[in-house]
Amino acid sequence: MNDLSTFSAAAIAVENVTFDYPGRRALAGVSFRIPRHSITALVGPNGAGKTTLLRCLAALDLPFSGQVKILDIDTASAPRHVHTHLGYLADTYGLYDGLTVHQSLVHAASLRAIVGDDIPARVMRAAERLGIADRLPALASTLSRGLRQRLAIAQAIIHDPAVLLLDEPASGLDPEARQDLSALLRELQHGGMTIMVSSHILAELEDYSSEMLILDKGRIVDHTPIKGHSLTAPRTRRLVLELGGSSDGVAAKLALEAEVSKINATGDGIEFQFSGDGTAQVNFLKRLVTQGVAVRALWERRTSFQDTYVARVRRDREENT
Amino acid sequence: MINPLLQRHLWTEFSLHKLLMAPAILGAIFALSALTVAETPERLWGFLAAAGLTLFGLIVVIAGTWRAGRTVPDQKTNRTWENIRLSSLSSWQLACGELLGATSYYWYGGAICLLMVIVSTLASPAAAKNMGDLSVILFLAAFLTHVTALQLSLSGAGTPEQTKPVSFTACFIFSFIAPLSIRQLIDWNTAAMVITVYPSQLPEILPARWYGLSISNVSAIILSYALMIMWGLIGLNQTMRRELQLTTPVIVWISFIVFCLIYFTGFTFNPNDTTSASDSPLNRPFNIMMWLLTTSFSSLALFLKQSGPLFPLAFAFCLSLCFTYFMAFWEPKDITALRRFKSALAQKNWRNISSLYPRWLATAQISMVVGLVFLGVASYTSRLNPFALGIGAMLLFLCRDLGVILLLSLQHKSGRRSFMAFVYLFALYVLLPGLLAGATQGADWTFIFIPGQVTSWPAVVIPPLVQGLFIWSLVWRNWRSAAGIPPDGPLQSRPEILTT
Repeated sequence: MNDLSTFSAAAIAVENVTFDYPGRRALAGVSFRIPRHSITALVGPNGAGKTTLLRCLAALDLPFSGQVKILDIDTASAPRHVHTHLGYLADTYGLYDGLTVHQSLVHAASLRAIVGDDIPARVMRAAERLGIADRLPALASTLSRGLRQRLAIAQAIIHDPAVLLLDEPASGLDPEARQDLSALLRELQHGGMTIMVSSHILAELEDYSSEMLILDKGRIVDHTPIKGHSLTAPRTRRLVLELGGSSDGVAAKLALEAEVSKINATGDGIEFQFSGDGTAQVNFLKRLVTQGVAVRALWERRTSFQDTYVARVRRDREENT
Repeated sequence: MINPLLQRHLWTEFSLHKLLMAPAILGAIFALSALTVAETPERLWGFLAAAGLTLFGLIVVIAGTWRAGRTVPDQKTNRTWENIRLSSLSSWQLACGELLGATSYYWYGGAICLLMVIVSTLASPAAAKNMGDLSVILFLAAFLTHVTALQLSLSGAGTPEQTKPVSFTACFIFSFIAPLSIRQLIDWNTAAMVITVYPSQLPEILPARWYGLSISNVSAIILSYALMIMWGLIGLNQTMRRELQLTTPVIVWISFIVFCLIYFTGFTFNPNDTTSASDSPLNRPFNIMMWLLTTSFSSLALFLKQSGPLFPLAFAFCLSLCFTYFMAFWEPKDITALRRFKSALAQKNWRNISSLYPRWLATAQISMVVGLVFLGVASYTSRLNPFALGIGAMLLFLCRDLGVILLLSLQHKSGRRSFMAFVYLFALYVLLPGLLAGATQGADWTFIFIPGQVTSWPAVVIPPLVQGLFIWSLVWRNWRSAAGIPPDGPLQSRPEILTT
């Protein structure tokens, strides 16, 4: 058995998880850790195992083997304890059509053991967060698809869970509502929540995600931090040097730098890989200017979520064929 | 604080319109009854009491059971059940909330009907004779059918839509008929009285005997229902625990089966009884369980008839077989669940072994134990006669049948497994023996496919043994190659069937 005691800083710790459906393997040796107070984008093609993984994290399904810990609590040995700390919105969620929005939220609150006196305040807070406070008397069956989605999310967060798992939360939302959802997720994150979001809409995930977890054919293809990295921490990135004058000899000067590698001349300047931290980058720039290089700009070429995702999935598939 | 599930059901079930509709319609029916049968006050009150009880049966027992069996499958279909599974409620809160909440409106209608019975009884005690006892029996029957329907709807193999009609039928067989079918507890008059809900002849029926103890029929029926309700609630709690991902020790199920065997066999046991085979309980006026066995399993009925003084053991054996076949068909048996169980066995994880232990396997093992005891007693008392050989044949054929059911469970897609197994067993027990009997023109070779009346050991052992070995070799082959997924091996990429 794997010891996860060293992973106590992680909100979600998954170790070598395998999950089978009759006749097919949905998750194969999945391992990763998600830090607390982060937003992780769970992406992958249809049938990759995203929903199965989220259900295992939510302790709704038990993995065939491996270990899942939420806030250091093992989902296999204490699933009910995990449930109290968790909010979960399924991709195909349901609402009680015969209940009003207010009754739905009161019901959700009482399911989560919120005591009677606290329920009205929690209901109002959740309704206001999701922008449905003016719809409280309406029947759930009369709501539009977007409003139903908001109600479902409000139900999932009514007890302020420490970990929130959302499976395709933006499907069915209009652009404005998606923007509101992004803002809400950021607000929840700043409030201390750890969030994992599964979605196909990568551009939107890029707005708020701090990590990206790529799943394909039941395996983790990549787990990349997206935001929140320290400027002082050394890391490898692609930089583009734009020149105000001739580029003759600049490539040779760059090649002498210890942190620089993979130099290419591109249409907008010279692109290269830089492996130093922020201070090293400042010193590097000073040296270039001192050596008479006419630097117009030095910027980092960021790879979009979409590009990273497609590149990693393709590379993984090539490696496995 | 009110149970959240009960509160939600009350919100959805009790609108002002529905609150007023039930008494209005029932009142109109009672008024119409009164106008139709207004000859004498005594006849009027008797009729109104009977009408009240009949309506109670229709509303609470029939419609309420249907509703109880639908509540969770509907929530699963509407995708709201996961929220309940993630809630902070205990398994008991879940069980009680769903059980009482889903049927609350039917109990409301039933309460109006019972009020009519009470008023009639008070107005004319002579006319409404025994209505009090019948009301209690029907009340308990309704509660038991609700519990069973809710439990079966959660525990069966296949989708909720597939299990709904089966669970509805099964809960009536097990909950409504079975407790009333105890030997001597109910004869034709009692059955007719309960079913048609007319003034009864209860006091005229001989008292029931339980392991020789005399007990009044009404007390025995009420006690049986109360005990079955207790077990039903325990079972429902176990089912809810499984929904909440909590462990469900197999010992609870084993205790239930052993209890049923001991308790119900008690009504067949009389130490002073020296009845011969011709006076076996099958020859008594009427018994629903015996009737079911006679019509459904003619071989079993013949077997029971021949058991004579060993009838209690034969009854216990047959009852355990019924439980075994029901569980073998009903319980989900997919390869993943079985591999989990195998994995727990390999790790000697006793907690998981107990929780994952297939209930059909535990029931089959109990059947084997009861059968072997029966075989030993039968052999000891009357040497190796055809009757004792028949017991051995039944045990071997049970192994073959379980192999057939398991084989098809490992092969066919979800939803068709139990049906396919039923078709194969129907062919083995009915079609092939029929063809064989026709082809051999009188020579009885049917013992090849069904436990028959044979006088030699080889004829008893060889046919089921050969068939059983063949079937179980196929099960083993399927088990090894099932889906081509080694338990801890690399991913077998099957993109065409991978779904989230």
